[in-house]
Amino acid sequence: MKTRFAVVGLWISLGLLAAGCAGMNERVLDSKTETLRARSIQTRVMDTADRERTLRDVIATLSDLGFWVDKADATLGVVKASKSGLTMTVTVSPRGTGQVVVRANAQQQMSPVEDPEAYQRFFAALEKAMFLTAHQVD
Amino acid sequence: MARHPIKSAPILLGLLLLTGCAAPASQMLTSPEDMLAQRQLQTRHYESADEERILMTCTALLQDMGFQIDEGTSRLGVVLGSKMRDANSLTPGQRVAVGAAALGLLAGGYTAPLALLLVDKIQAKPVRIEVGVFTRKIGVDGDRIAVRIIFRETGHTDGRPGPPHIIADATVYQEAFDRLSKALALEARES
Repeated sequence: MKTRFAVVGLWISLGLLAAGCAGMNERVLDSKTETLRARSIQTRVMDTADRERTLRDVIATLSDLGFWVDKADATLGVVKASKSGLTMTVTVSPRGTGQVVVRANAQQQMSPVEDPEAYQRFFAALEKAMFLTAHQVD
Repeated sequence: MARHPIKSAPILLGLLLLTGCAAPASQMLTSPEDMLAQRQLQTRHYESADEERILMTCTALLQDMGFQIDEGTSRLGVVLGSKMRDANSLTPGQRVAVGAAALGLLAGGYTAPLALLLVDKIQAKPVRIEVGVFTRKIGVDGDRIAVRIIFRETGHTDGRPGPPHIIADATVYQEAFDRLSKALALEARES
């Protein structure tokens, strides 16, 4: 009887340890997020070669939306801003000779924002600031 | 076994309170109705093509206002600063007077509760004030510079920061831009 309890206890412990590992991977690497889907909703291509102007438009758009700009780096092409527990990182990188790729990823409290509408609204505001049409990334 | 509805009520209430805490991200990313008014309040245009000089004048002005410079990216026209201040407007002398009055009320016995109100008046109310300055060239020839200044304030209670809020007081922005205009005019005269 005692041996049976010990075996059951061992299996439960192993199960909990395995569950702990999965939780750690999920937490650190966001392994449950569908990368391609996330990339698609978080990314737009803009028809401009002017990366710095795009970064300035990102800063102006985030300010208009009531965000506080925490960091801005022209070399890396990164802007980080926050508003009431919502944090946004926007990167602007060149694509070919006449386009830039704008990627935004948001985090609210302790979770990544996966709602496509949230990103659509951000890009709609950015489009207005840039007088450009954002294209869904191929 | 089904849980009694009354026993489930506190759990449901707790869940509702938790979900009701934060607005959805899509709502927070929607352009606010007063967006243009806010932008106008926070922005002034200056006749100059030298963005770097204006940004340097802004940085000196922030130092004049007692801000520590936390971040500066001239390529993107960004300067960020912050400072800690006491939101309690009473001078040290006034605080001593209020403290003496509070002691008097405390000694009065039945007036003691009023003393608590006075004690609150003499306590320091630390606030963190942050400023963001954003410049950019505007106009067809890029011969004008738009300067946007945004102030944010965060109150601290028992050493812990509360929710930050953007300062919307028009007089604060008016004075900041008046001081910037004067500093730019002075520089133009000196150069």
